[in-house]
Amino acid sequence: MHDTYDKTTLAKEQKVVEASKKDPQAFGVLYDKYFKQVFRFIHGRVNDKDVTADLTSQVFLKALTNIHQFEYRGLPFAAWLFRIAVNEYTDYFRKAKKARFVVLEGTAINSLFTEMSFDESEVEMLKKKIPNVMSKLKPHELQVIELRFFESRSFKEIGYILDITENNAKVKTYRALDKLRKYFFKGKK
Amino acid sequence: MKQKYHIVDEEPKISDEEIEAYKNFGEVLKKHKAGSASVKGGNSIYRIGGAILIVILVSILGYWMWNTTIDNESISESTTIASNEIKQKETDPVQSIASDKDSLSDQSVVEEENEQMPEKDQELSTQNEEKVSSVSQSSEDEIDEEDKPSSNSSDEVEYNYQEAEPVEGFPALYSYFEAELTYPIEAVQDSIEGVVLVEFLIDKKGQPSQIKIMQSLGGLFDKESIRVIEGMPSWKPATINGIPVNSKMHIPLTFQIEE
Repeated sequence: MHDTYDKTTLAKEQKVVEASKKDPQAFGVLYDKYFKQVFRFIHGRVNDKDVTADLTSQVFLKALTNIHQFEYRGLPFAAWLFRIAVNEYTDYFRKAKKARFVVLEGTAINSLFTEMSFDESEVEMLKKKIPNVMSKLKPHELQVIELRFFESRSFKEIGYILDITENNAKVKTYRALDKLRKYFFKGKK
Repeated sequence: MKQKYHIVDEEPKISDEEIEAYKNFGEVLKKHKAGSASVKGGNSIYRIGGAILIVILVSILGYWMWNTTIDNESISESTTIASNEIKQKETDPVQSIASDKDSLSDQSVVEEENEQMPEKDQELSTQNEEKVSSVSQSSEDEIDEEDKPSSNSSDEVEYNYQEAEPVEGFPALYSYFEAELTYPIEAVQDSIEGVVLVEFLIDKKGQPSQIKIMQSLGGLFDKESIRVIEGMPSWKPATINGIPVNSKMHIPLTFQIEE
């Protein structure tokens, strides 16, 4: 889970951020630490290695350029990188007009179905409908479902990544869940 | 706009080694440096371009005004001559007949008219002078416009802001905080943990003042934070071109219960 953050690590990160403001070279520590995470985060949605590499590089460049604007909110620095990454790939999909990838692994589906409290006997039948139902969601709705149920992120982190409040993240997530439930229900009839 | 999705049942495969191969921090640094340089360069290009555009516009306007004043002058002169001629013909038919016969008399009429209209001529000439002076003024403006950007850019080169920093460096300051900052024992039972964000001013002498709590964690923690900030090692003040200036700083202080 992403909920528990080691406070000593956060404090250390904060020091590196402060150092990076003075000397960009110091940013290398954060680059090494989070490159893989950011790369995988984008690659899961873009599914193109070269495009992912470009976007990832852009994310770190923007993070370094705007490091003075970074505010410590008790979350790892990665959350800020993910926030930039979301903006970068959203921009990419809009310009390139390409389809966005959504990874729906077995555990992700289970966690989603548990949240929607579907009857176990229905699960297998409903699983087949997932691609169709998911494609009806709007990008921002899919975004919250993905971050919450497929990547198990806390509402605090989701709020930070999407630049909304923690409460708003909760509201958006449950609205998206209601919508999903409605689509599944329609399908059943 | 509706977005299309590809729903896949497993994450696209890519090994850690492959990701490692894409790592290039040097390039990010290079772009970062080049980016900040190009922004500065871009600004100066815009300024120079803007100045050139203004100069061109002003000269076109000046040229147009100069042309129109000359045209007006010649038109008004010719119309006054013509109207006077007609008047002369109407008032003095004998002279007009004579003038038909003798072209020289025409000249004398014109001369006479000119003598009659010295005031108008004077007015015109003063107008002209004014216009010429306004044109020369605008050309002076052009020079000013041209000068301004270059003086701006020279300012930019000379402007050198140095942020305030602890005399012994930031690592020493952080180790001071680590050593000095103590968790208020009274708050242990509530297991409060978090960050106090402190704002303070480093004055021209490098001393902290105007200490404010921007993000509080409760009175005990705020008091401890202020105590630590007040007693921290001395700072080098921020400078502009070597002249010390006041500068505001923000420092987050983390309080956590040590296990």
